[in-house]
Amino acid sequence: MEIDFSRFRDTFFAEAAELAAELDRGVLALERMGCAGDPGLLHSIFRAAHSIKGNAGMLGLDAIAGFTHSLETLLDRLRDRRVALEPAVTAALVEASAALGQLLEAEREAPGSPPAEGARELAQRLSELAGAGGEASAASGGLHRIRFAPAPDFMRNGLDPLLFLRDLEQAGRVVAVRADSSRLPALEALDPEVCYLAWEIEFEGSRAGIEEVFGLAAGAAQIAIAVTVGEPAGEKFAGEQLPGAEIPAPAPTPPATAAGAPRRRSGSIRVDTDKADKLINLAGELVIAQAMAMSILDGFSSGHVCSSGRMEELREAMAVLGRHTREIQERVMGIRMLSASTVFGRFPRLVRDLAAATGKTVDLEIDGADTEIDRGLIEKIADPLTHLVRNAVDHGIESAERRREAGKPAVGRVRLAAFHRGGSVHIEVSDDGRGIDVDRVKQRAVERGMIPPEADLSPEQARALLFEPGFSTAGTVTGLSGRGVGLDVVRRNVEALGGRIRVDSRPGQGCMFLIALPMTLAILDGLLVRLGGGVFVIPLTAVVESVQLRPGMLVRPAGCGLLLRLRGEAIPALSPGDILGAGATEGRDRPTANRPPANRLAANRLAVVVEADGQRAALLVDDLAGQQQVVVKSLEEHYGPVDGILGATILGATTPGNSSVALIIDVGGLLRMAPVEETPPGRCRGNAGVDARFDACVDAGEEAAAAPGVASGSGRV
Amino acid sequence: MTPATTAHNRRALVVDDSIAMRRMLTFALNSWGFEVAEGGNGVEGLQLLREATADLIVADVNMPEMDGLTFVRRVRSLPGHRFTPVLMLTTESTSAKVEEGRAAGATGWLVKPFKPERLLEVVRKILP
Repeated sequence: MEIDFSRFRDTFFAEAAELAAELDRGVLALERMGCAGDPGLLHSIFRAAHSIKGNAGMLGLDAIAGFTHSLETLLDRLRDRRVALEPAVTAALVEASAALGQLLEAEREAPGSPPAEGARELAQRLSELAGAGGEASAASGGLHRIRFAPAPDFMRNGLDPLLFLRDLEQAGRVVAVRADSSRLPALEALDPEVCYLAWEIEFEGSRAGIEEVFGLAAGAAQIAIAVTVGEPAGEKFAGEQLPGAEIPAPAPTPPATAAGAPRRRSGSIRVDTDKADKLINLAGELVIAQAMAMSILDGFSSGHVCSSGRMEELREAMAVLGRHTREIQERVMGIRMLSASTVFGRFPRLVRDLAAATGKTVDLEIDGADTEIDRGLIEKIADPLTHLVRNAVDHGIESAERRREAGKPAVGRVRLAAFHRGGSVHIEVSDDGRGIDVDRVKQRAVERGMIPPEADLSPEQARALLFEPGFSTAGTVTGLSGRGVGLDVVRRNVEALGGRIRVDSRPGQGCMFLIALPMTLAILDGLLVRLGGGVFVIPLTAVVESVQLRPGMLVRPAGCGLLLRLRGEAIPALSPGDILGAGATEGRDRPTANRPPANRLAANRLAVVVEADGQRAALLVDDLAGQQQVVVKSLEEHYGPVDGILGATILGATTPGNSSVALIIDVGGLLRMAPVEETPPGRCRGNAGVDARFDACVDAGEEAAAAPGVASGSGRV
Repeated sequence: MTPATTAHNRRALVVDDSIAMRRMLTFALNSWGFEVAEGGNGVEGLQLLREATADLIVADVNMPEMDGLTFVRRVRSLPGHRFTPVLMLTTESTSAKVEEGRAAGATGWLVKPFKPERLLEVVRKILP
């Protein structure tokens, strides 16, 4: 029965990532403390390194094991106070912790990939630092792998292999010994005086020490010594093997994924035992509640009179059942939740490194690290957050000198905070730096032809321009306001998660980005609308407002698409045909003549104003059908991706006896493919500074006649 | 390489703070017929021993809350566990450490990393 541990690779990497993060936090904390250190902290860092090393060894991940070994040794010496916590040591630890993260990542992505060149040198440096404080024998040593293969007549010559091994133990630290018994013959053929065994020893100490120990054996044994740190085992002995003496193969590694293969994310979820226990209890309650309801029902069918009292009982039983079901749903969703600290954990290092690189002093303040966020969101929000934090340190925070001139504390502050509000998770990235210079943003936008020179923008509208694609490229903005580098990408990422981002700023006082994300990716708050005989769901995060149409609100100016005129803004409007047919026909190719006139469209009594990618549009719908949480079912799994459709859901909880499938509209996707693009750019699109141009459009176009009997007024949903 | 599965109806307790390590140990012991309970540290290990007995204990030396050596000492003081085989796992093989383990009450000592076959070999040796 062959037992293969390689199946635990995923578990190893999941755990190692956590340990490495813990190690990194600890090391950074050590750095802040300076020479004082903290025995408890050192110990926990040590243990993290120790665990990674041990497990990596079990899986034959020798590069990682070797590296963590040197790290562990240094930490061990620090713990014993044999090595002092000097700045050079802390610096090496900080570096090593980062390198360890990279080693783990590299090995996970591409098993068996050679470790980075730097890792080996770093490991050597760690070993030297560890040796510097004591143990002369181990000084200048590092980790060696020794193969000790005595010749067959070794013992006949009066030598005892065991003595050499014992001596070696005195010369330094024997980390591991493996006996190679592959030369051992069957018992009948065994000659007790012949030495069949060979040993592989991992030894920490000086090379001189090793040579001294084995000096006596020279000529009577084959001895190979190699520095192993950071090197995959098994390579360096090639060519030096004794005939017949095979080096045990390194522990089996799983089939190598080809370089460039898609990232393999672990598919398993670790759940708190508490959470699992509560779920199990609830499942039990559910069974009881169901049994109760069933027994009442049985009473009905067995001929009892259907009294109102029994109806009441049944109603109660169903209520209990419903309560438990909801609670189970909530708790099951909770399993998908991770605390924000899993993503925030990386930022102390990022801020520290960035500050060091830019010569600034920056404090990072983290709030709400225990806020729970959907697992899927956490992975995807890390990049946008990194972008924002990087921007804040890089461009937001001024130099210490500038800050003093401005009467601010020399140390800049960046704040990262997560909190729940309503049904969403809010994440704030703010700084107390120079803020956004609105005038210069406008100036840049005019230069880029994004707004006409005469446009009168509020500061809020101007700041919103930062998220426009093409507003800036790196370099042009750094000198301008220090903002805007790739913010359009940040916004796109956030909106792809069903979230929104906004920015606020006060000149000289700083800047705040606020991201609002749905609590989970699996459930969303939807606005149900009737459209062409079916019900569709619009994610509430994309809905700005819903408007009842009044006469004159829908216009189709010559040369423009259909527009909704709302409080002086012209918003591109999509008719049901545009929405439903969007997937079937390429909108912009359709001849204008085939499109219904604006007055017929006004028969659609409602417009839902939606926003995605900073672009607004009005969806003309037949009616609103309510608002509810829907569970998102992916279409891709069963059908294939559909442009403009996010997924499907089953309605029924609120429409009894009528459970039906409804499609969820992907607003961003719909706007990208809808014929809104027909509108000449710069004339009828967008909402900023649109007033002047809007009037021109209306003059040229036809006014829509509203359907009679439609109440006027508009309101937010 | 084909060890006889001699451990049917035997219970093992695995105590290690690393989940990956516990998975590996449990997997190996399961496949040799052991029923396995897992604890994340010495305190949990002792609790599990109070709930159900074990025919074999495999424990890591380096653990939070309660380290392996303290754990073995406590195990030895529990009723009925005076002779329960306890295999310590460690990365250190210095004789001083091994001696410390023996003094604490460990029956066997296995240095990480090891191959599954090696684990079985040692386990067979220390099982009565």
